[in-house]
Amino acid sequence: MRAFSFLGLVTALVLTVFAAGELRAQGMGGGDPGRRGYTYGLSPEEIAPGVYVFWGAQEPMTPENGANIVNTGFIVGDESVLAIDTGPTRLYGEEMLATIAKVTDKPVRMAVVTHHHFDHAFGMSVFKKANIPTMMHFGARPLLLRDGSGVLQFMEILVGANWVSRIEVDRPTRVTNRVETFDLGNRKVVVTPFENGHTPGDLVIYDEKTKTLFAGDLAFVGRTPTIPHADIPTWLDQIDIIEAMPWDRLVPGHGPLVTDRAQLTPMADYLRYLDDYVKRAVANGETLADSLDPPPPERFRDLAEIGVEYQRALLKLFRDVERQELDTTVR
Amino acid sequence: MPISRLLIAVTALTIFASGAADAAAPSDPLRSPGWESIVETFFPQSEILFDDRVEVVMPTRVEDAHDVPMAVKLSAELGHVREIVVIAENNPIQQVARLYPHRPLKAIGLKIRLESTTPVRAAALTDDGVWHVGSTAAEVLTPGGCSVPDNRVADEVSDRLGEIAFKTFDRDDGSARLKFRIIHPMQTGFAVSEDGEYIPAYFLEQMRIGDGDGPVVDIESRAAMAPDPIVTIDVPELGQTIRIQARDSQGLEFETKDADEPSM
Repeated sequence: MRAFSFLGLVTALVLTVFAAGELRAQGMGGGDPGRRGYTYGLSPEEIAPGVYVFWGAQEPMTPENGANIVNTGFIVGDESVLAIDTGPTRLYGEEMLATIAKVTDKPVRMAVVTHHHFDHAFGMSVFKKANIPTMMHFGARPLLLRDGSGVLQFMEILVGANWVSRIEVDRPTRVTNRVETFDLGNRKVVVTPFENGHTPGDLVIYDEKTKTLFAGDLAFVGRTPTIPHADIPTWLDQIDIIEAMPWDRLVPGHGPLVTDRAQLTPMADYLRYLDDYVKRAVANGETLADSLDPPPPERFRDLAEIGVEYQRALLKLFRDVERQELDTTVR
Repeated sequence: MPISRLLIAVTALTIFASGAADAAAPSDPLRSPGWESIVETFFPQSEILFDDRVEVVMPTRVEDAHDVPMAVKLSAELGHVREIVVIAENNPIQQVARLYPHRPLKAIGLKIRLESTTPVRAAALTDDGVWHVGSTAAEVLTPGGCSVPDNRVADEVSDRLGEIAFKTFDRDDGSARLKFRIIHPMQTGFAVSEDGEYIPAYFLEQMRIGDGDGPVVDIESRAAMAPDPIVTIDVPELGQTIRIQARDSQGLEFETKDADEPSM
């Protein structure tokens, strides 16, 4: 009945928009441009021949970074280009497309959006307007459409209205729930779906030629994983599957390039810890307030955004597990 | 400047702006400008002691203001406690709950609504007529816990309205804990729906907890409790037959279906 929904949180945020507006009216900021004005200064790194990444910051979303906290990229074949994710804003998507055009004159044939979270999906309308197809997992589309407008308000609070302006949350031009192969011209790229782990629908993109895997947010490195739509046991299984895939290098949704599978261990360790901790706390009859009180264990304190994300994660997980447990006692 | 820092600055202004206090009452450690009126409303002509033996545990940074977890710890050193009141100072509904224990209460767990950044107080009345007050300050990043509709609560009243779930636990310190949940929208009357109408106030106003040995605690609840309230209480002992009764503001009564502890 009261399944946790991000939308509930987001509704509560609506009023804060007005609070933020007041702060701006007092001349205290809130919509400041980044160092370069309202541009991201996107600059791709070629991590392998024909494989490019736009690295995002390991920071919270701020008016300075315009929510550029995410890694996106593109793969260039002999005939065409595949874009991976579209960034957090329309401004980002526009800049991404313009920057790709400076690197190659090959046409972008598709943007694969790894999942529905705003930082990956909100630049999507730019691609559609440029007549570039966009593809998401079958399970991601309903969440994007349901949560999109609320999340926009949340973003506006955190980064300011100017960055967020003109974003259109729109459906992808196609969805998939099976393995798909794209030939970019002498270059095969394989898209693999994952269900109900990190979110109901994630896609990972594998470039066979350079053995590069774009793992989206199935992989967080050095940054606290976010779990608003996650099922942790399934996600942990999927991390095992990702580890077993034949990549030489992996681009996580957040964090630096992965060349050693051991770099994925801390996130799995963190997710396993969260799951165990909450299940034990609920089984012991702890209250949520008491369970939030102790800080996360020492070994997780270097993860970016641990303070905020740990509390968010505990709140969500504890409520889910406690609700399930109480439901079993109803007669 | 990140918004979070701005909000902290505003919080500081709100909470620390005024140090003026009623001469009769001790000055508030949180220096809240609202404290004087709290004294007038809740503790008129009473002796008040800010007391570490009443502890309020809750997150200091709140993103989901419709559903904020809190716990109150009461030290055994307080002696016999006749009454406990939980107050969210800057709420339109300040009183969250008032509890009348029939057995020594060691701890209470609640989930509450917070309208905005606020001191949250728990006060325990001892036999000598003194209110022992514990406080904490919660910074609410997403105001509106009482006045913005919660999308998680359906417009229509659930067919599970009044459903009661509970479980008991043996605590490490030898006490017994009861955790129960009652399905109820706990509408504040301050929220406006999408069609521009106020959603009428509708909440549980009375909960009575007992076991085979008699009453355990009576609770006067208000809509400053979060929807589908989950309450925990710690007492020295609980019998096998838990009985939970509740009445809401429309006079509907709910109670546990049968008296036996569910076998887990």
